[in-house]
Amino acid sequence: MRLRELQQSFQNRVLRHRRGIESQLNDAQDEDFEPRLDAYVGGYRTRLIEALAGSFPVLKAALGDDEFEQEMRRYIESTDSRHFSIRNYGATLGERLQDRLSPAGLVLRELAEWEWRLADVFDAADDAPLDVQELAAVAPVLWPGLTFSLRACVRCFDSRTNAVQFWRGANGLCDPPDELTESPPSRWLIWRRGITTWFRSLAPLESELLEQLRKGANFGLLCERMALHVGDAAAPQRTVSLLRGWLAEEFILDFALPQAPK
Amino acid sequence: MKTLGFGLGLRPDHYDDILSERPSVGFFEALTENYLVPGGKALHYLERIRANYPIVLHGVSLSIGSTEPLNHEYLKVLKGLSRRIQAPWISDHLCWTGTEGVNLHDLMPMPYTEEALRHLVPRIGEIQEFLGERILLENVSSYVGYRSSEMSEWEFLSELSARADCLLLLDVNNIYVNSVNHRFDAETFIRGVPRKRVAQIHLAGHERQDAFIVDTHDSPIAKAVWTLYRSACKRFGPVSTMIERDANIPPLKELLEELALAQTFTTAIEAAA
Repeated sequence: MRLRELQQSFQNRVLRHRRGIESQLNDAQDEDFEPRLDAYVGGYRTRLIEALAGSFPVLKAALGDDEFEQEMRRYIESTDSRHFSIRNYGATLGERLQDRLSPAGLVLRELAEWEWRLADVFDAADDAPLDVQELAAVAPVLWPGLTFSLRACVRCFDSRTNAVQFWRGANGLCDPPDELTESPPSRWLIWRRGITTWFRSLAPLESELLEQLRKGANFGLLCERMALHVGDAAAPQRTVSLLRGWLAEEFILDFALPQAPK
Repeated sequence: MKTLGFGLGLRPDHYDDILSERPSVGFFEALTENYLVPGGKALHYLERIRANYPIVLHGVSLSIGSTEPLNHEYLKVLKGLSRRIQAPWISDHLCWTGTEGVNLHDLMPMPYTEEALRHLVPRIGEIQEFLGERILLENVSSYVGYRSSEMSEWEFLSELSARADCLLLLDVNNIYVNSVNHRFDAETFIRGVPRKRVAQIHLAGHERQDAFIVDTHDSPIAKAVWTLYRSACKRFGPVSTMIERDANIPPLKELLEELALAQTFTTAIEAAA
């Protein structure tokens, strides 16, 4: 058997339990042959389960050790790892849980996706937040045309369950809810300050304006949006106030001055 | 290759102790894939520890033996990380980790054949050319052997390193594990590896199961491995040596004591010489 076929055959044994590689291996009749082979076949699953337990500790706590292992084994059989880092395995776990455990799966999916998003922010690119002093130096006449960019670590998370509260409870940040249930929609922001991950909920108005900012709306447009909620007179002040908060919390990476007309 | 002395695997459990206690070790070895991330805590600590110690990179996903094309995206980020921390060298394993786009996250053994050598040599050449340096390849533990093998593991390593002009990371624990699992004389292995190719040595613990040994890296170094290490010290002279612990990670102090024990072997041999 050529090297390519040998590797495909061995991999098929590990992933799909398909026999075939045995005839290419030494001592296949020995009593300890299967345990030896299981160092690869079972070891593969053990390693991925360990990695998933590391990425989804609260999901594991919610399911319990036995059910977590059963669900992870199902996931592993359905989903091969295709990334060079084992920590990248599990991106679609939440989706799979929802499909399998519907309707209760929604909260488990959100819990899994919340933990995945936290890990994503944890490793996001390092960049320096915008210093408020740099913005203060911009001439007032230019402000309406200013646009802003968010730091690489800023992520939103939309929820229709109490998964985030459950996660907070599991980490001692609040009283844990009695059960995982659906709840009114909420939006959360996750980001990093230094190497510490932060998160908080977003009120609808703040959420709307932050989304507009992310899409490239300039300061003038943000004020117009704000005016729809608080009126023309209060809008600039309220928008500045929001922006000041986002700067203090280190969401903003940079700003761009309006393009001069050609 | 410059000798860095005695080192340890860099593990997150020890980050703060390393920074606060500044232990007397020659180098740290970082698990490459843990640091191939855009930013955050792992890179933050890597940079800070790099300010005080040389850090070599040790990967598990090069998949040098796979019949899949090389992963150039992986090589690109690996090169970037190596440049960023000025890694004295980069090592990975003489194995394959998957085919058809899959990563088994395991160090799958190679058959020791002429075909495998012909497959590996140009791949190593391509990687070394891309990285601009020679890489170190480590002998892996294995639990099964291929009927098609045409030579011993040490003959394969010798031939490969000569043809590809690469260096070897000799894992003494893996030699011992394989000597039990595949019933050969570990001392013959040590004698069969070319002196000038060995640029680093690994020491680690293992777990004995009924009839074979599993390379677990979760316990102190076994007595038989220390004995073999003494032979390695005699044959290869001063080579950068480190202890790998990946599970049941003890306090830093315990690993430093184990490392000090390793140091006594070379000291004794130097004194005898």
